[in-house]
Amino acid sequence: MDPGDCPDSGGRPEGAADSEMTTDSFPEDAQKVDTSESAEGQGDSSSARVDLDDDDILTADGSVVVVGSKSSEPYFLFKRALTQRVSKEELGTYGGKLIVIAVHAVMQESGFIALDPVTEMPADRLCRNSVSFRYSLPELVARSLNTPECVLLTYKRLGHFVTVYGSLAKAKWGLPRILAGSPEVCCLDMRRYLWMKGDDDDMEANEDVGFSSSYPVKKMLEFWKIVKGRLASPLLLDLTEGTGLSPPSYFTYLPPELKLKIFESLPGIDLARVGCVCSELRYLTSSNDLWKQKYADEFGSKPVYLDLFRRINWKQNFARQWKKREKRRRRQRRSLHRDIFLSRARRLRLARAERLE
Amino acid sequence: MSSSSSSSLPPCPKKMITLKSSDGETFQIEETAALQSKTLENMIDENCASTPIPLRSINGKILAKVVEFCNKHAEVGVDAESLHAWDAEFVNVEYTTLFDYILAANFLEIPTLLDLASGVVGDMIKGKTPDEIRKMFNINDAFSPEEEEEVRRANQWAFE
Repeated sequence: MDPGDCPDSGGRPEGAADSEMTTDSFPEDAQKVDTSESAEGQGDSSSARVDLDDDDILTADGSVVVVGSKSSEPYFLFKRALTQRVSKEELGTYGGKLIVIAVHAVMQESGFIALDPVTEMPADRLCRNSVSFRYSLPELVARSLNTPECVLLTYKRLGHFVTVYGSLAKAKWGLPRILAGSPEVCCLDMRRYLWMKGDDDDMEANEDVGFSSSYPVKKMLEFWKIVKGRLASPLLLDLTEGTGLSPPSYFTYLPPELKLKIFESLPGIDLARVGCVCSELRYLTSSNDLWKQKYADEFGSKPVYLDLFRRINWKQNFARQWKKREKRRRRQRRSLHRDIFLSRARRLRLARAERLE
Repeated sequence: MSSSSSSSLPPCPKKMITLKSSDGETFQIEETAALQSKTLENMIDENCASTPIPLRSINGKILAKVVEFCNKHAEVGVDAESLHAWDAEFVNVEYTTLFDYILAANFLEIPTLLDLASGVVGDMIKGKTPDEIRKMFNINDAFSPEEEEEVRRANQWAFE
C-alpha cells in the first residue's frame, strides 16, 4: 500500500473523519496541553509532570500527546502509553492513540522531532486527530528556510491491528512527495502491546529503570524493539542518506535485537556499564531475561522454583551477589597480604637473630 | 586417493547461485557454501534461487566479504585452529564494517558470522567505561545530569 494513498489530514482536522482511527472531531484548541519551552525555561519541571497526568496524556477523545524536550521524556511518554490499562471496549476508541503515542516516543528517542502540520516547524505537541505525522531532524530544521525534509508516518487501522507506514517525504502543505525507497512497514497488534484490563500474566518487577510498579515489561521491550528496528532506525538512515547528513552512529542504527545479541557475550559488570551510556541502552540492558542469563553465567542458576513466581529482578540479584563476592575477595586479599607481611616479618626477625648470634 | 574419487563423484558441474548486491554487483556462490545462510537455504529449497537474488540491504563490498566467509567455512579439510586464525583475521576490521557484517549476517541468517562479529563488538565493549563506549561508538545523546547521577547510583557496584 502506498502511504501516499492515505489522506493526509494533518493540516485540516475536519478531514480526519475519513480515518478509522479518529473517533470524533473536537475543537482544536481545547485539547492542547502545553509543555512548551517557556515552562522548561523556568526550570519548572513539575509543570511538565502535571501535564502528563493520566487524564492529560489522553483526553476523552484521546487526542493529546505532549512532546517535551526533557531527555528522559520519551521513556516517560512511552511508559505512560503502554501502561494505561484499557478494556476491550476502549481498545476501539483510543487504543490506536496509545499506539501513536508509544511510536512517537520511540521516534523522539531516535532523534526525530515532530513537525507541526500547519507551520511545518518543530511542534511541541501532537494534538491533531490525525492519521499521519511528520518527523524531521534538528539539523534539517536548522538549515532549511521553510520546509525541512522529513519522514512521514501514516497509521492505518484494521480491527485491532495498527499498521504504520513510514517513508521519506518532502513536507509541502499536506502533499507528501515520496522521495525514494519503498515504505517501511510495521504492523502492531493492539491486543498484544497494550495493557489490557485483566491481563496480568506478563509482569515483572523492574525497579532499576525507575519504574516502581509492576507492569508488562516484556511487552514494552518487544514493542520498542519492533518499532525502533522496523521504523525509527531505517527511517533515520533513509533521511540522513537522502539529505546528505552524516549518518547516525553505526551503533545507534543497529536494530535492538542485534544490540541485545552483542550484549549476550558481555559479562554482567560490562552490561551494567553499557546501561550507563545512554537512555536507549539503559532501557535495553534492563531486560530481565538478559540478566537472568548473566546471573547463571556468573553464579550458576538459581533453583527453578524461585523463577516460578516470575517476579525476580535478576539484575538486583546479580548486583547483590556481586557485591557479596567482591567483599569476600577483598577480605581474602587482605588476609593474604597480612600473611605475606607476617611471614616476611618473621623471616627478618630470624635473620636478625641469626646475625646477632 | 579418496579425494580424487570424491571429486570425480559428482557428474554434474557444481551448482552455483547468483547474488546481487544493493549497488548492482553480482556474486557467484556455490550452493553448498550458500547453505550456511538460512535465508538462502529457504530460497534454494523453494526453487527461488535460479535467478540472481537481489539483496537490497547489502552493498557489494560487504557481500564480497560475506561470500568469502561462506566459501571459507564450506571448505573441507580445514582444521579448527587455522579456521579460527582465519576468522580472527576476517574480523580484524573497523567497527563500522563489523556492524555491516552483523547486519548482513542477520539478514542472511548466518549464525556463525553473526556470533563471530557480535562477539568481537562485545570484546570491544569489555572493560570500558560508559564514556569510553560513547566515544568509541560516537553516541552523543547523554543523560541529563540528574539522570546520570541516578544511573550511576543504581549501578555503583559495577564501578567499584
